[in-house]
Amino acid sequence: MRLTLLVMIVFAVAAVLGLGATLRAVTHGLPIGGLTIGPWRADPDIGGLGADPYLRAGVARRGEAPLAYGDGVAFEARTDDAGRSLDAACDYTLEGDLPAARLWTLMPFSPEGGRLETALGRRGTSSAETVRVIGRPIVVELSQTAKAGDWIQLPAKGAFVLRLALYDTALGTPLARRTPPQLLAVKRGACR
Amino acid sequence: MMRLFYALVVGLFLAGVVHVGSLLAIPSLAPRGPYDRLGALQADGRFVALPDDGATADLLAFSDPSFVVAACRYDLAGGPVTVRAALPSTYGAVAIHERRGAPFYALTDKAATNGTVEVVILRENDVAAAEQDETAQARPSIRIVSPSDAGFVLVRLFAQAPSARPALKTLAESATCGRSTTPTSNP
Repeated sequence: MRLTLLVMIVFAVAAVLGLGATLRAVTHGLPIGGLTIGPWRADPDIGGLGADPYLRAGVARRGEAPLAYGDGVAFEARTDDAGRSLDAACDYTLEGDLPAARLWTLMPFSPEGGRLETALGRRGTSSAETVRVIGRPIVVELSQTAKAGDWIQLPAKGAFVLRLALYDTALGTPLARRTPPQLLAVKRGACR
Repeated sequence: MMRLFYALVVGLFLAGVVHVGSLLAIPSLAPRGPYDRLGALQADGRFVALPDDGATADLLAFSDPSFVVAACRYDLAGGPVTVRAALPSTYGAVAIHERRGAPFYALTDKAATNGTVEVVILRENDVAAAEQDETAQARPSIRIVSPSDAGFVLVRLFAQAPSARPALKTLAESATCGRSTTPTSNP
C-alpha cells in the first residue's frame, strides 16, 4: 500500500514538474540566452537549423515563420524600460538610434502575434515612412489619440507587444552580439 | 520518511526526462505549426499571397505587416523543386523553411541576377543525380538540400506604402515553385 502511494507520488511529481517546465519554457521562452538590449529581446539563432529545441518548440507553438539568419533580426519588447507590461491604455514614446540596417520596421502585435485592429488601420511604421531630423534620434509615439510626429495608433484596450525588425543587418552575427548596440528606449507616458 | 525523500528525488529526475521528452516532441506534435497553417491557403506547388485582412490575415504569427508575403508549400517526394522569384530592389527576400518551420536558406534581392533569383531545392539523395546532369548553362543554379521532404518557401517583398501593395502582391504571386524539369539531353 505504501509502495503504491510512493510510486504514485513519483509519477505525479514527474508529470507536473516536467510538463509544467515545458509549458512555461515554450510560452515565455528561456530567461537566459538570446540577445537582450534593454526591454528588447531577440533570438538570432532562430533563423537557422542550429536553433536549440526551446526555440524550435516556440516556433511550432506560436505558428510563426521566423526570419532567416541572412534576412534579418526581429526584437520583441513586452515591457517598457521600467519593466512594466505594455498596455494600450497608456501612451509610450520610443526614442533612440538604431544600428546599421538596410531597413527596419516597428509595429505592435497582440501577445499571441495577431494584428491589432485600430480605427485608422495603420499597423506600424518603418524606415521608409518615419521622419528623421538631422542630428536627432528617432522618435515614435504610441497612443490611442493622435500625436504630433511619427505616431502609431494603439487599439482600444489590452496588452500588446512591440516588434522591431531590422533587415539586412550584421546584428545577429556572433561578433556583433558581444557588443550589442543601443536600441529604442521605451518610455511610458500618461495612462487613461 | 527516508523513502518519501527518495521518491521525491526519483520524481525530480523523471520530471527532467519528461521535460526533455515533451520539449523534443512539440515540433512534430504541434497541430498549428507554420506549415499546417499555410494549408488553408491552397498553396501546394504554387505561390499564394497571404491576405491583408479578414480571418486569415493572422495565418502566420508575428508576420510583418509592412511586407507582402506569398507562400508555397513544396514536397520533394516527386523530385527536386525549382523556385523562381522576382525581387524588387526596395527589399525582397526568398526564405526556405523546413517542415517544422525553421528557415534553412534565404536570399535577398542583392543576390538577384536581372531582378530574379532561382533556387533548386532537392533531397540529399538527389544531389548526385543533379550534379551529373550539370550542363553548361548561362548561370549556375543554386542547389539547396532540404533537411525534410516537405517544407515551405516564403517570398517577402517590402511595401514602402499601402498603395504599393496590390502591384507587389501580383509580383509575389508570379513567383513559381514547380517541379524541376529534367534537362533533356540534346545531342
